[in-house]
Amino acid sequence: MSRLKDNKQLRNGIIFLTVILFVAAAAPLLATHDPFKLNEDILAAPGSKYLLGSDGLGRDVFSGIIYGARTSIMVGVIAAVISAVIGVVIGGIAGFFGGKTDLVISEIINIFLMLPSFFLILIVVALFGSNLFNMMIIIGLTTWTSNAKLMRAQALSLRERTFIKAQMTLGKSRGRILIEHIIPNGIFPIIANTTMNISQAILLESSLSFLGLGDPNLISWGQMVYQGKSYLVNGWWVSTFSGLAIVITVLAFYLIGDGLNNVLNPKLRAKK
Amino acid sequence: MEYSIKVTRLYKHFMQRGKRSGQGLFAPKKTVKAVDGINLFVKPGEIIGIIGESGCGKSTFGKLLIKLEDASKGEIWLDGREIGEFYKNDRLLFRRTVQMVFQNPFDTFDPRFTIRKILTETLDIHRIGETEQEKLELVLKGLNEVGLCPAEEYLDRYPHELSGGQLQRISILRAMLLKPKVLISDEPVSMLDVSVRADVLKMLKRLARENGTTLLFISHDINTVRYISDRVAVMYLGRIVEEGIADEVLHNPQHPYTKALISNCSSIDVFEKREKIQVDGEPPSPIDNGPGCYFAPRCFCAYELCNETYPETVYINETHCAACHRIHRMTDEKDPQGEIHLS
Repeated sequence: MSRLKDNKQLRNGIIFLTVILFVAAAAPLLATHDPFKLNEDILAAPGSKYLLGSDGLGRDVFSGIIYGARTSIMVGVIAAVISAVIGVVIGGIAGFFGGKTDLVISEIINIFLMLPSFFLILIVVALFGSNLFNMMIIIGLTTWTSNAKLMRAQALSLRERTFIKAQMTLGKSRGRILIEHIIPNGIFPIIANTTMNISQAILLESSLSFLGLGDPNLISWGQMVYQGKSYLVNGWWVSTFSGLAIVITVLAFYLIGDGLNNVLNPKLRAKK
Repeated sequence: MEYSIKVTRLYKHFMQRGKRSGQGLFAPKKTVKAVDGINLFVKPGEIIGIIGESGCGKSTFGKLLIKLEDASKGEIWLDGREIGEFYKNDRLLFRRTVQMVFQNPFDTFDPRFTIRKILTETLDIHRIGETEQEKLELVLKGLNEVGLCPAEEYLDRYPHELSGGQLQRISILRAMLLKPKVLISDEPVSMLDVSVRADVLKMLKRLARENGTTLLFISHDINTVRYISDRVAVMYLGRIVEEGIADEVLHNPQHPYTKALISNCSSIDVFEKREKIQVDGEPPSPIDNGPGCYFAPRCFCAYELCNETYPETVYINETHCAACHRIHRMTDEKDPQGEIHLS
């Protein structure tokens, strides 16, 4: 636990994240306007009435950013969890069962690694429409490969450990060994990787929204950047502040991910 | 007579990936002959020690018996059943018939589980004991039996909180909870403190005797094998070179390798005069051994024949056998030159 406190990256990341989570949770209390409401002042500069200005349709940017935090965090977390679950199961099976299973799964992972996932996502969104649910699923389905590779490596090394062999000689079935011993003992790098994946998913969602493929019924930072793009000359605040929100959130998750990695990985720890 | 362990012509060859002996794409792949034609018969309740230096295949042999590895060739019969069939037909019964104690007690248990969970889970898998209470009683009784008392104190500890000796006792208990007919122990005391070795060995021997368990004791330490075993088999590069009643093999070794091993064994008696037999060189790799006796390149009494054919196993008496050309000559031809002189 002391290592957790000593790690500056992790500490700063957690502070950032707590603030962001608080903002997302307390959005109705913090917001000064209804984020959907079209106010009369179009492109008002940041000031006392509109803290961070208003956009081309008269919506308050500050309130938008606060409500947008909910979308971003939800997309990030759910997509990353989907990707972690798929990755852990597939990677665990490949590494633990080995042999032909491993061969086939490894090739499938390679195929997924080769696919340009962003364009895959574009195609799916174009085909099935852009709602948040689709987006989370598709981000999860295309980013699990890194988790699978990590879990496979863990399973490969764990499977040679005596306690796994001992469980086999005791008569536990291989499926149970995988679930009860391999996965829980090998999950730490995946946890660290998942926080990184959250930030990636947030970025992906923002990129999609920026391309105009976001869910039109929700407020998201990517969409705000996209909408503010056309007013960049006479209303710089719309894109800038929503962009900053993305940067800070992504940074927070990266700091946590990297910090966790340093704390949990004994090799990196030894270097310090 | 039903044997508890019956092994006939058992081979385990590991293919080396990508490496081929000789030139060319189609040259045969290099194989490591970890177990190279073992025959072994063990009666129920017997304690048999397997001795050999590192890399001679004794651990692989143990793993073959418990099906952690699959044999390349040959048959293993445990408790009167061929293990391939046995495993296919009734996996759990097979696991109850043969159990294993591992070398490294610090890595034998999942670090996230308490001792209670580790032990009751074993009972759960095999559906031993009906109620939780009954299982707990079995576990407590077992803990007392292996010398961990008060047993309640150990239940809720994690493996990393216990010493190697205590963990190895729990490891033995976990195996014995299933009342196996055959117990394989792969160097069970080599990683323990010298001070607790004797205790753990004594306990292992007692438990095996009380339950009538056949114990296959794998070790490189002749002294521990001498203490625990009824019979001894000496392995060299995947083959058993000498086998017989423990005392007889260790006091009257026939194979030059056994002689070398025993002559290098430390003794507490400083006045005991013994000449050490020097064996030069590393043990040769178990790849491409050639046709002759595997020990011939290092043997102190090898002659031409030794490099040409592998010696047949010769019975010195009903229970004692060894594979060496010298013995053959000694017994059959009464050639004085062929006798092995040892001071």
